[in-house]
Amino acid sequence: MTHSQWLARILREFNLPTLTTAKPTQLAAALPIVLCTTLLAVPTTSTADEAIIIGGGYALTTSQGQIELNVDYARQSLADKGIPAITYFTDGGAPGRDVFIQHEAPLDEFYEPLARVFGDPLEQNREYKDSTLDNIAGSTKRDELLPALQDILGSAEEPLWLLYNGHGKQSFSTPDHVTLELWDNTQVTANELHGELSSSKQPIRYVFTQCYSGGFHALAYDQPDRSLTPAKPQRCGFTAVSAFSLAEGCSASINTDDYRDYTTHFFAAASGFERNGNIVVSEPDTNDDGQVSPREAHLYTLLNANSTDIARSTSEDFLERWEPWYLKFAPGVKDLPSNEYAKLFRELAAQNRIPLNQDSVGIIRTKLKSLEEKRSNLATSYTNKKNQMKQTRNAIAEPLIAQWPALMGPYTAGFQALSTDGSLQTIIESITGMDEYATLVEQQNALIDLENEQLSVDRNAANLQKLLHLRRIATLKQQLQDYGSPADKSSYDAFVQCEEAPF
Amino acid sequence: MRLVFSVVLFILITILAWPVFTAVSFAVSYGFDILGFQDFLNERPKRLWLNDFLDGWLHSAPFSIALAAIAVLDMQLLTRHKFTYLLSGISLPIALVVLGMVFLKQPNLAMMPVLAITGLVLWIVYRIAELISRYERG
Repeated sequence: MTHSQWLARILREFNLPTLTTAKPTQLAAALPIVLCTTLLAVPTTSTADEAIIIGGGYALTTSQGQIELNVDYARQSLADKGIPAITYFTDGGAPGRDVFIQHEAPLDEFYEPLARVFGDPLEQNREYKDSTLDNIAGSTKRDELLPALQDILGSAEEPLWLLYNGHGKQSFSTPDHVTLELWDNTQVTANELHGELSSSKQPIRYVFTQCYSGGFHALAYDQPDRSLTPAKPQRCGFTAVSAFSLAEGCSASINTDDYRDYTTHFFAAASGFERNGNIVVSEPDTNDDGQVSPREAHLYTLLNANSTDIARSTSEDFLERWEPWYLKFAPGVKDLPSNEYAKLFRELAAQNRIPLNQDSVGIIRTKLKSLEEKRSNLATSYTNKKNQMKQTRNAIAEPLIAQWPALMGPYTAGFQALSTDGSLQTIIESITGMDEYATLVEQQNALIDLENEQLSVDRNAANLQKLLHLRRIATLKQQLQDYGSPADKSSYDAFVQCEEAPF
Repeated sequence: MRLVFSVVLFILITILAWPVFTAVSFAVSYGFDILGFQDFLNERPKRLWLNDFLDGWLHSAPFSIALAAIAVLDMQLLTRHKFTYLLSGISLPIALVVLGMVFLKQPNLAMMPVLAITGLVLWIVYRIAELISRYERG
């Protein structure tokens, strides 16, 4: 356990949300204990000596600033645990822009009316920049990354962590063909990565946070497709979503409150602190052994992440793979079994005000149905408002185009001339002087509000769906004990042990 | 004619046992607020669900064939006399309940009522087929 974790625990004991918000009397009471415990605490040695972090988008327009910040945060969290990371990020630190940030307000308000009428209003808030991450080992381009990985895997003498923070694409064949979308529009499938990892003689644990990341649980098995036998040496890990779901967390915003990525919660639990410096909202160390294991960090994330992600660990993926044909279409159990997933179900149900009785599933279904209706209404409303906005935009644009036809071709010499002869200034003044412009701004802002509202509904629905998922995993874990073969139970236990091993 | 009906009954029960089981399972879990596969239909592509359904059909074939054999035996033994005719087909729900009692390890699993209802639905299928056969024979 690191000093910061000790500090976090002690502060929690004294109910201090953060050092900055604590009352002086509370701090005075806590200080002697903090000092004594911090001096006495001996940080434990890590079992993993090295981490490989792969991050960034596959092109400038998909390389959101949040990915860069997530990579930095993960790297810092691992460093705090004594785990150095080798980082591969976008173009490998080559000069040139490889990240974009979405600001709250336009960078240059002068052109805003033009962007609102003729282009994408959000484009005005976008800043393209060169990544500021230091110590980048190389690019994530497939041809450069795979040989580099081979070198590291072949020479590694300690267990490894493999972290990916970027984008992924779905597989329309088997789940092990989902991809990592790498720099310069290159790709690696889970199946291919499985082959690459086979050269490693060390156990590997992984965290994948991209869309369809669940397909990368294929890495944990000896055969990537449908096998139940664990790979040797052992591999296990955590993914933000299943092999069939989009992940949240690709926002380009740099506002820390917008972070809903799996890494954010996972490493917050592991370190004891949220990224904004607040102490984590609940105790992740559920077995009170004084340290937070990766599995505990994952369970903490399942409980506390209010996002559209329904994360999965390898052991949970194993339970879903194992589920035999005669249970797959059978009804579950009315009563909750007794295990950690049932406990999570209870806690999450309480958070979502779902009564814990025989009707819980029915109530969740009713709420889900109501959210689906709300989502559908919002989608209809969004389409209608978008059509109205387009009409307003046309009403503004048509007279302007009639007067300045060069506006239709923004990448032409005619358009350039508008800029140099001062016509652009006149056009912008004409736009802002129209009555319809105020309406357009209002309509475009309303569309953004509707998008946020849709996201909020999606998050609420994901929380309810997560409850059903947890209940299913709780039941599956019990069913494995009842119906599983000794080999299946042993494989499951091996995955759980791998997830529980300390950082 | 009786032989033809036996063959038809055998094929009907063999084919219908698994689809009836999944349909009853759906209805029971929905009606009694129990977690069921329908709660996760949106989590995976429909083609994978279809694969799983077909896989279940294939795996359940030995049980379905055994059940169909019981149905034919039941028909041969019980439809010959007026009194036993009233009870003909009862072996289907009984056989499925016995199957549940032998194989199920979780006492609170809602499978028992699902198996019993599946047996009752197959019983209805049996009786309809038997009535049609009786009508055909005049």
